Amino acid sequence: MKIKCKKCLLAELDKDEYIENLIKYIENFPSDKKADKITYENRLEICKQCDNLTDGMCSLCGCFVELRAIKKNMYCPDVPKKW
Amino acid sequence: MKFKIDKSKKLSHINPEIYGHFSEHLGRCIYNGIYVGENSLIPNTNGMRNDVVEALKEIKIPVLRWPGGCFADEYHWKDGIGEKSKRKKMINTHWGGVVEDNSFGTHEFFELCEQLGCEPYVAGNLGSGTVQELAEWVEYMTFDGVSPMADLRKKNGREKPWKLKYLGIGNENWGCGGNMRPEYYADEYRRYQTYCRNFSGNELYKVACGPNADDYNWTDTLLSIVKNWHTRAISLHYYTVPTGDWSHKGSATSFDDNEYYNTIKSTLFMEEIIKNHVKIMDKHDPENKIGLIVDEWGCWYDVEEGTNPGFLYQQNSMRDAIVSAINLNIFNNHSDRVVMANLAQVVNVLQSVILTDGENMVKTPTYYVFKMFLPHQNSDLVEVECNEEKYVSEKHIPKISKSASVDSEGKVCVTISNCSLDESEKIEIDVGNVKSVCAKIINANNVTDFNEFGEDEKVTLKDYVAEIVDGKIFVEIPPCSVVSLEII
Repeated sequence: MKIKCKKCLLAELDKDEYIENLIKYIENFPSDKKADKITYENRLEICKQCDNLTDGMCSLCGCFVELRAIKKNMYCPDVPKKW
Repeated sequence: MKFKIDKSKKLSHINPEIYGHFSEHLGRCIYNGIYVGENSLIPNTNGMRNDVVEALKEIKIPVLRWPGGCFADEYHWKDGIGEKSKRKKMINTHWGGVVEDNSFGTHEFFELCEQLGCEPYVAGNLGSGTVQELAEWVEYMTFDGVSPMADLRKKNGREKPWKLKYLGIGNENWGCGGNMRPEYYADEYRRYQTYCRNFSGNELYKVACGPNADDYNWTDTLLSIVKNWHTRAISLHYYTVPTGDWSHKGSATSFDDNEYYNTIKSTLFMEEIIKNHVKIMDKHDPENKIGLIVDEWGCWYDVEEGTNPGFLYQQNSMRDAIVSAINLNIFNNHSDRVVMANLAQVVNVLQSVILTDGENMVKTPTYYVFKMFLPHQNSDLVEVECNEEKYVSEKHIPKISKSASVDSEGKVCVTISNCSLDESEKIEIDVGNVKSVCAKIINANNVTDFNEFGEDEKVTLKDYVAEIVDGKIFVEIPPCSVVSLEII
């Protein structure tokens, strides 16, 4: 029997499938909780310029930035906040 | 239900270390969770977040395990000492290029423990390290005098050695720590521990890697080879997974009643595995010289939507409060063998007591259980005689979890949880002469309630009412709640 631990569980994850699910989640995010299009795009522009962004993820909060930015009430986790 | 407590019948000592925690270089536990660096605008002392340190001091954190976890068996301590700008930087390319810059190393860990006032518990690398590397780390940390490692420590700014009691030798060596067989690990452990010396009056409390969950063969084989003159304790890891399916563990905050009860059932398994491992320990170590350390436990859910799967970040609801109360009561009730336990993990990873988001911090429902259970630390366990066992209707799950202790001044603390979602329980408690009782409660409107950033706390510790009638205590335990009574 193979004994599972934190590392092997992660290695077994399908990264492409996970990203695909995230994209679907963003597309179907409830409109009343969604940031408007301009705010969303502005936020992502700021993220793109930030050193904390790697492979679509913010290293300060561990969030994929597209998902964090789509939420109306969300904020940049940096101090001071960039958006 | 009726409880009878004889406070003169002390069963075992409850080590404060049972209320211990675990910090790993994983996700945002160390970096951004505990350590933000000296130049951060987040208020800090020598790089450690002041809000997090204050919160952990409030629950009197007794011991902190570091640097892992799986990370421990890949960690090379010399990467994390000396001038920070010159320390080795490694990029974890798996799931999004996270940089480990080694800015939190040995000196920073001991600084953190000093700020917290807790015992350090260092997990050494047996899986991918060498005997020499671990022996030199012990020398670096604890040798007072002239030696190559003590000189290196002094060069790095620390004149006096630190005190190090707890030293783990390997982590999960049945899995990520080398996929070893118990026979092979046991021999390796004997070799490694030989060279971990007691220097300058420091006395190491060595911990061998014990079993995963109900792997009884590991315990039996290990203890047929490793004896009490080689080790003071063995470790045990067991996680609560609501669905039992590691690919779909379930959400931290969105679950139905059935999934809730499955979580409770899964967590209650902790008692069975402790009892069975203790039976094996009794066979090999009848004099009870080797302790059992549950140095990874807690709930493991799917990560919060949209967060890095490798960061293991999850929220924490009223369900987690019930789970932690059940486990802490189990550890108290087995404190004759269970000498330490470390919840996984202290900040931002798995069942944390603290979550951070940028400069913000929340205390989770689990945090408040640790706060409620504080009087048990360093007290003596006393027996709770109970007249009947009650079960959640149609679920065959014990409804009430409990433990009781008496402190050095004779004050009794009883902690009780009711895991039923719809039935309360009235309890009559006879402790002998009662002068006063102080009751506290943790409950919520819904079992899925949690503490969200920027909002009022939905799950917290509140005052509660218990009555004294004819020298006995009468208290009602509401559905899905944890109650404590401090009795004089």
